[in-house]
Amino acid sequence: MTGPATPPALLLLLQAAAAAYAVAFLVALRRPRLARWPLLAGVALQLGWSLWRGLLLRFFPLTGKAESFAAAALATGLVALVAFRASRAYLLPLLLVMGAALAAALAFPQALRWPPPIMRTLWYPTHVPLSFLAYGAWTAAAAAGLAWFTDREPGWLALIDRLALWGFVLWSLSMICGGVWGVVAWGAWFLWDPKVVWSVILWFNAATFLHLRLTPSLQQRPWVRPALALAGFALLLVAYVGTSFFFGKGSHAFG
Amino acid sequence: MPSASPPGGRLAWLRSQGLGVICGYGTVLLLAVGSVVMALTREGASAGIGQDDLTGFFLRPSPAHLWLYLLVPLVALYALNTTLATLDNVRRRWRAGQRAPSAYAVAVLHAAFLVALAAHAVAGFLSVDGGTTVLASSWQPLPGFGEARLAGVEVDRLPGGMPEEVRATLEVRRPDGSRERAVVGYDRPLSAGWGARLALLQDEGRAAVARFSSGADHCALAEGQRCLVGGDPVELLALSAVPGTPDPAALVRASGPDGRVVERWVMRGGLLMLRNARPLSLDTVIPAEPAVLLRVRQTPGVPWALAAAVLLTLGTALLWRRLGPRRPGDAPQD
Repeated sequence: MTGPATPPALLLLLQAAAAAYAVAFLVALRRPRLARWPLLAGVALQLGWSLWRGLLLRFFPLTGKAESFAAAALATGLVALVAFRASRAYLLPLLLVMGAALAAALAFPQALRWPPPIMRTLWYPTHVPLSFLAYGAWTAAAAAGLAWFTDREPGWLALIDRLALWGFVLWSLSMICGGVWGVVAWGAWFLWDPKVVWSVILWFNAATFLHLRLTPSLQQRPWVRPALALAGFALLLVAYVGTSFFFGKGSHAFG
Repeated sequence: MPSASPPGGRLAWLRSQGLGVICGYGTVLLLAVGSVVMALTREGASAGIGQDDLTGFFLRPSPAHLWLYLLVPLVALYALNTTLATLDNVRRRWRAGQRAPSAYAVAVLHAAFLVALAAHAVAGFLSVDGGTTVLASSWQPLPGFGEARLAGVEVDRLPGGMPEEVRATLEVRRPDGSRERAVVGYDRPLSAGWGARLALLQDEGRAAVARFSSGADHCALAEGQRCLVGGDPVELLALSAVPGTPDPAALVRASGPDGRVVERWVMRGGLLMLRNARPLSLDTVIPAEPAVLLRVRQTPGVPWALAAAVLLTLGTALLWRRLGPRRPGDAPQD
């Protein structure tokens, strides 16, 4: 036995969350201001799903592909709630990303699996959620970038800058926790492993992005930050999905 | 932040924001190329480059490592740019009378970045893998820690048998003669020097142990372990069943009577002559005794990385005022 029995109702909870996000998408098409409530319902359902799995596993429930993609959707949903803007151009891409992540989560096996002993450390449930919240912040920054390209309102630039800063801070703290875990588990905080290298890439990208606003030669080119926020989302996809599926087996491979 | 409009001077460009941005995105590009190249050459030019190693790129130079050879000077330039810009920024803020710690948040983050780069260099060039050591009830050399032996193992298991937590109690005899007891487990290594020396638990289980004696000297060895008998090393290479007898035979590596290293099979009750005609006898073989497998690493970069982590945490904490969810002039709503 590799894990405890999986109650069938768990899957229903995740499906209900997906339905709530679908409703949020439809509402955002007509009345973006009201999309906050189905979004909140979806996030609450997903939190319930995670909590239930955690209680069954007696640990932080993030050991497989389904849990990972669900966590990506949940983190993006949490950021979308905190940085909510009643704008179609901002909400629709965010909800699309969440829907895609949740569809992936539903497509993978739902069986509960015990985490291996090396995951049973404080550094795991700090490193991983901080990473996903940073992903969520950068995804929202990219959505704000898309929104800027639709109406050129300077307010989007302020939101992009702040979400990029949130992402940078969360990612930095995540790398610290991951680094400490790497030392106590493998004897090194850095490994020539695709996921770790791409984590460093994301950190450099975020750190450099934060300096763009202050670069004199770029101040007359407001499109640069929205465009690079979108490029940052592409890097995020490579770091999160690409390294797990296309770079061979690494220390961060999904279970 | 680096100076937005650097004052005159021929070298002012070295601390400019623009150069920092170019170095930052250049680093992103080269690391991205490197990740792909390393994945494609894992069985070739990049074979043997593991963990945080940097020496492998230079001991076995290859065109496949061009990205790293370009990255090193680029990062050096990045570090110089960051250093000069940070010094300039701190000097200007201090002269302007800014005394709040939060005014120096970015300078602290830049310092963290510089220390982290130093940590990578130290770790990449100076880390040493000390191999693995099996610890059972007998004293064994544990490189960097002196000698150690296993005093006991507790394993909490999940339904189905998977270990949930392992607590291995070690007795450690330091090179200075001091003794201590330490508990190691997964994610709980034996460490010294702020993490500069680590012994990491790799596995736990049971191992067959052969007990040898030579005059007043005794030692008990699992496969792969060694001990000193009369000042000379004796290593147990293997234990193997012998048809027709209940006891396994031990393959031993040691210095023979003429001082040359020999490998010989020894049966229970049998003798192997060591240097100075000292006899070594195999007294008994215990079929299964608790044992742990430890991997030893010299990691001098860890204290540097810890310093970088502390600075990075401090810098991000000082940024908290800038993280509010909403500000005047923020994004529009439909």
